[in-house]
Amino acid sequence: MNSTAKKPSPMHAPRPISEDLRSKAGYILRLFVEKLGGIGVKSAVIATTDGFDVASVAMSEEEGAKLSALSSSISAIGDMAIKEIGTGVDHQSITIESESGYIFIMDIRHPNCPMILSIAASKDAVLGKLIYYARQVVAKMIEA
Amino acid sequence: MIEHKILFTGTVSAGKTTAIQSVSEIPVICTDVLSNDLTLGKEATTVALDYGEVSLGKAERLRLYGTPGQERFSFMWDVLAQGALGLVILIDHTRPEPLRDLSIYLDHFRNLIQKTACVVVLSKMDASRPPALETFTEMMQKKHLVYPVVAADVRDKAQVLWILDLLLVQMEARL
Amino acid sequence: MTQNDPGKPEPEIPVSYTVVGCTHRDFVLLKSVITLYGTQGNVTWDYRRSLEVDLVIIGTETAPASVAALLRSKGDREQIFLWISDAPLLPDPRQHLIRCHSPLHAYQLAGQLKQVENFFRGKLSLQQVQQRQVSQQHVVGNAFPEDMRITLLRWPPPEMLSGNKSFWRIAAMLSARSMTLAELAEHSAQPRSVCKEFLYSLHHAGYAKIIDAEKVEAVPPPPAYSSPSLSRDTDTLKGLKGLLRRIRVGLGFSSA
Repeated sequence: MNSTAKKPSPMHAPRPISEDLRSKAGYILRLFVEKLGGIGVKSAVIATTDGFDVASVAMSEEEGAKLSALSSSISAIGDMAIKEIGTGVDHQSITIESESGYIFIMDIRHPNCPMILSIAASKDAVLGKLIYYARQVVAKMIEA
Repeated sequence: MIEHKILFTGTVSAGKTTAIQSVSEIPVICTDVLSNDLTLGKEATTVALDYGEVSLGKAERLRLYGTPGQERFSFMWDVLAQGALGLVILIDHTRPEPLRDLSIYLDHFRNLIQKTACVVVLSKMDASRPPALETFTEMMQKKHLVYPVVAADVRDKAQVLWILDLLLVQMEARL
Repeated sequence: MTQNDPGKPEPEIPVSYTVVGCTHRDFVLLKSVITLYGTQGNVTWDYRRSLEVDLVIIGTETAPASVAALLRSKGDREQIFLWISDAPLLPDPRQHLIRCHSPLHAYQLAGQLKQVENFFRGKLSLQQVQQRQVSQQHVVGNAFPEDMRITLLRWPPPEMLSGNKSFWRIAAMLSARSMTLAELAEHSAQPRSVCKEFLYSLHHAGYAKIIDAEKVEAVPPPPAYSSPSLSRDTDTLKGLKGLLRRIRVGLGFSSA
């Protein structure tokens, strides 16, 4: 699978998320949280680019939906910024830092179903480790 | 550069992007993505914003922003509403519950429109299909919100200008 | 038909009507005023394509001779004829004929409909209906003080706004804040007579009301117009007006 594939053009018909993809995403995400020993990750969600959650861990359903929609908007604005400024075609990741933590948003360029990985982390997260495992999540999801 | 802003909101596929494109001097910048929502009946949906602009002179600009239609993105409605001179609410009349749709936007933007101005636009309207325009104005009366309600085709630049005229007239009346 | 039980609402009374010899413009106005009017009372107005109706509305395209013939026709039902015309009086021994001036105006029509309604509800005799006819001179001549403040209760339908090109903008102004006749005329740069006529129709059809300055209104007046982008660079009234003018020019309006 070509991991640098662009998002499918909007001319394609909308597809529902398959149960298979959902369960794989759930599994991959749970594995990710386990690898970090649960340290520093407040919540993690895999969402479609239009803001529907595919899988979420460590939060209420409402929180998952909110993070999905927010990440969708931020990711789209990131894409817009890159296109308008002319430094690439699709954003790969966005980091929002606050005094108490981070939000990481990473692009999952799955050929059939483009998605977004979004992680809310607290300041005591080990950043390098988190990003490393997050990238693994993205790679696994592209193959899913 | 001095910036001013007019906001366009409303239901998915009501014509927000089209309306902005009708008057924008630049091609509309939008954040459309592939839609997974089968209820929308369209392939792409706005998840952040649409953007167009009109120059008012060398150092002044009018920005035209369009919000996403779905309620899930209502946090964007608040972000985009800040500092807006007025609001155009576009309602797709072919949707199953256009009155309820309008209610949602009126309730959410109530503070903004009471301080500024608003025009409600019913798009894709067909006189033979209910609800009639009167039903919308009646609903708004009950909410103590009185603003122009018009049926229009926003692909037509002249009609979009007419809508903006009704918006500007309200602003001028308050000066 | 009549009830004296205070607890129960009065039953819906159907009044059938038809329209003959009318221009298209008048027909559209009639239907929309009757529809509007019909939502405010307990009479339901029922349009029929037949002369066997309670109210026959006769338009300007009907010759007086035909109207006279209609009046003479002997039916066994009580009928009222509403004629849109300024033609001379016709013999009307059964007192069934009432009038509206031409061109037809919503406020006079609504006034006449009210009398017709009261007749069919059994509250007025035909003689009383004749006496209470709403004349255009009476309404317009009636004191409508220049300083009486009008507020829009509801956005009016397109049929009420199509009479004059400026009605749309006048209504939009009024939707922004309550205004007196004087303020409206000044703000819209339209003749007083045009504003007056429009305010009358709005008021009569229930779309606007007069605010009693002495009483406290339930709906507070809107706050003065403000927007962060405006207060940042244009504090004066002149500045704000200038901005809106520049926006009009920028958008391509032919006159600012």
